Amino acid sequence: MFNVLKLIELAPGLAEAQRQAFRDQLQASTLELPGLHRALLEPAMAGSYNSGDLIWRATFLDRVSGERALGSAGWRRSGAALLDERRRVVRLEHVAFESAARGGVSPPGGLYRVALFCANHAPSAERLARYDAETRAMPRYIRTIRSWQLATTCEATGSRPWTHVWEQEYEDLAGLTGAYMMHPFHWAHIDRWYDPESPHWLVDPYVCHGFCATRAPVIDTAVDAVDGVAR
Amino acid sequence: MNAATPEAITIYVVDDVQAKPGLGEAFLEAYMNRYAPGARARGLTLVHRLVSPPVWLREQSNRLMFVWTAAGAAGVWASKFAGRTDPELAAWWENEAAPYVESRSRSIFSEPADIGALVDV
Repeated sequence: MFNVLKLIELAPGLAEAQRQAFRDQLQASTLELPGLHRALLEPAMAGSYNSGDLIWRATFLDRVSGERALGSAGWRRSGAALLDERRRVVRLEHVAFESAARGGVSPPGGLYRVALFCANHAPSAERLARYDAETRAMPRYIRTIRSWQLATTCEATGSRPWTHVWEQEYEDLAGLTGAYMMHPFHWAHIDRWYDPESPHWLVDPYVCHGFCATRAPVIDTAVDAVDGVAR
Repeated sequence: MNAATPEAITIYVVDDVQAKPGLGEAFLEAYMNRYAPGARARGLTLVHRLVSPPVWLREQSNRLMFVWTAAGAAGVWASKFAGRTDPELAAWWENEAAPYVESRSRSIFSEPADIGALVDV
């Protein structure tokens, strides 16, 4: 699978109706993407940070399909043009990544969370491998993670040159704010990679942390349907 | 003691520093003057300062341990978030402390009896 994710911050002066109109237009454009396998467009929930107002994610069967779709005249005329509107979009974080290490089973609905990281502090192959392995171990300790994926980016623009995309799905918000955040594997172990006070510090302190409600599987770990587009 | 609630569990944040030869006492002074006030402001409590061996070595290295406490996971996160985007804090470790430090670790501990409550979240 090939995934493209955008965190979209709308101009603060936009009225609610204008925000909804933007979302509706973007949703319609997204659903017209040729070869689209799965899509998500939901408002980022309160508690998200550096993640703007909308979480947009599109999945294609492979990179060729994705690049063809996003380079199509239809998308350039509609979706891409919308996202380029500086009057309405004031910040855009963008990553593209091929599906990589992942596990679990996406719930039929619940909560999707994505974090964008930039591992730019003294990275080395050995340190990155340890960081990856420990991140992938989190679901073995934190029982509320229903599905997950850790990927490195093949495209990244925005506030940082994002290197990693860390996604999870939960049954509900408590799974994220409770077990995920409060488990000692997180704050007493893996967080050292994010901690400028730790000699293990690896990841830029500026991270994107966004989450939203879902009505269909997102990470798509056990679902191979082509009709999974959340409309 | 096994605490009743996760918030009441004492968490220990430990800096374990091998000072460069002859610089143990100078590092202690720098740590207490330049680092400790900010750590206290971020909600941590310094409960132990330990030096090994208990003599300031001139040609060899002293090991220093600083044991801080926080109130549960929330206390740890509060201290982390308070300092995470503070460039002066990163600069302390990267620039100010580095000339004194041969090696160091930072580890987070609990009493073994508290593990059950801490992972039950």
